[in-house]
Amino acid sequence: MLITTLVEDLGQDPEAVRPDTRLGELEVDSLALLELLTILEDEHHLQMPDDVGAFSNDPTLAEVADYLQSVQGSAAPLADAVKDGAV
Amino acid sequence: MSDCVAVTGLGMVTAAGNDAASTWERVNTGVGTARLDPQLEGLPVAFSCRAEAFEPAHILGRTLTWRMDRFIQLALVAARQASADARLEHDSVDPLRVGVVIGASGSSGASGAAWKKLIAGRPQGISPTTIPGSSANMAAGEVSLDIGAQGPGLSVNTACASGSTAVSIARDLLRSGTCDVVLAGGSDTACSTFMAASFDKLRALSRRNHSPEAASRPFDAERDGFVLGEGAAVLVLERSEHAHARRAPVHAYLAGAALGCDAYHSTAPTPDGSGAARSIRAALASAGMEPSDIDHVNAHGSSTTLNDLSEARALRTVFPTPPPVTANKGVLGHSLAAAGAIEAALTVMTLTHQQIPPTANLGRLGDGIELDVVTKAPRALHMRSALSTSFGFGGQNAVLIFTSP
Repeated sequence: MLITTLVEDLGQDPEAVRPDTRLGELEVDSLALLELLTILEDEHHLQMPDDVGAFSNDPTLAEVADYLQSVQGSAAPLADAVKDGAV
Repeated sequence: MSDCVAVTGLGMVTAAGNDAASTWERVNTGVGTARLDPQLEGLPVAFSCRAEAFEPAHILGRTLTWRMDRFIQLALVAARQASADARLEHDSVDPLRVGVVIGASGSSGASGAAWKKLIAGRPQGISPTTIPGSSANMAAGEVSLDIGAQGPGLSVNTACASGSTAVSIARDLLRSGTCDVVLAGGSDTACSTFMAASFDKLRALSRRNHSPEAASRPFDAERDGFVLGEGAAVLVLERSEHAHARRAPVHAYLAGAALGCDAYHSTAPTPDGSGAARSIRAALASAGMEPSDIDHVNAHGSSTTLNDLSEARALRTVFPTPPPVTANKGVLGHSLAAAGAIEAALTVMTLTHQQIPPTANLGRLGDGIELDVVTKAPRALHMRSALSTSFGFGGQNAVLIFTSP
């Protein structure tokens, strides 16, 4: 879902989008990140954090996916998720 | 410091072509570009002059394209073309002294998409790019970002005079010494259901659905309104001493410019053309020229009943014998905030080629229009100077004067 959105909605090269690719390598800046999260929330009904600070350390796509998975159905603040090693 | 301003680069995307050369070639055929527009199907006016061949993702890449509205994409591409034409290598130009002034109305598709989400009860689905991807200021903002210009970045809106207004402001920035180089132009996308439906309610648009190609007919007796278009043009302007120092190509000089306002009516021009005439005279004064010094007029010529008559009267008022006139909107339609910049660029090319493009669809001059309008075929003419007019809602006028190098 994450990779599909990056390719189909944000125009990323399918060859460049792999689990170990970092957001920075794809030039996904803060605006593109917000767009990505908005599409995932609106079209796939995923719960998204208000605070996107966890993405500031240039995570890989696998780490992004793990983190998004961790916050589904959880109201836990992002900071707690970071402390818990979810990112 | 010299007051003389040189035009050293041109970039253009229109319904007639994806660059300045192809637009020039098509404009000289005198054949309109208007077509039935599937996106306007079902509206009272269902045709436009859309830049169908413009595919921004092929030029800008998909990762840049998705985040900005089409009018910003058009501005970016025109600016890149103009920069390349002017050979604006960054090592020869101080980025702190490069400005960007773009005419833009902000008639956005992105805000329309946001409204659809709101109406559907899905505010969470509004794109974060709605504001930065559609605000009028971002036409200049994204161009500055793209070329690394760190001087003043301005988007200006004087309706259909925006593109010319931008060029006039750029001239001021150069003559005041604020900038060494300014990229100035206009960009707009008027081919939307919102614009078509809204302008139609003003009775401003041609309803010639049965023959769109013949719908935009400036100064013609059977004109019935303008045709929505889209596009962008950017001119690279710099003080002539700066251009000469870096051995830049000089297409023309921007010898004069003036801005003014009718202060008469929100949408209608002064019937006697007095508002436009004031701006034309002011432009002549700024250039230190007399009416007899002007060899050609690139008219606003929107193809509306009121504007064309008012403009013809203005030209007759200023020029005892008006020089040959053309109106590019017959071919290109009316791209609103972009139109003045596109016509400025075409005026420069008219001087370069010493050839006036024909006005499309002009069969018989309308009553009261006593002008020598070039029609049917291009007219070769020795020209040293040419004047371009632009008039917008709000009575906002802009006039530019270019001279051959």
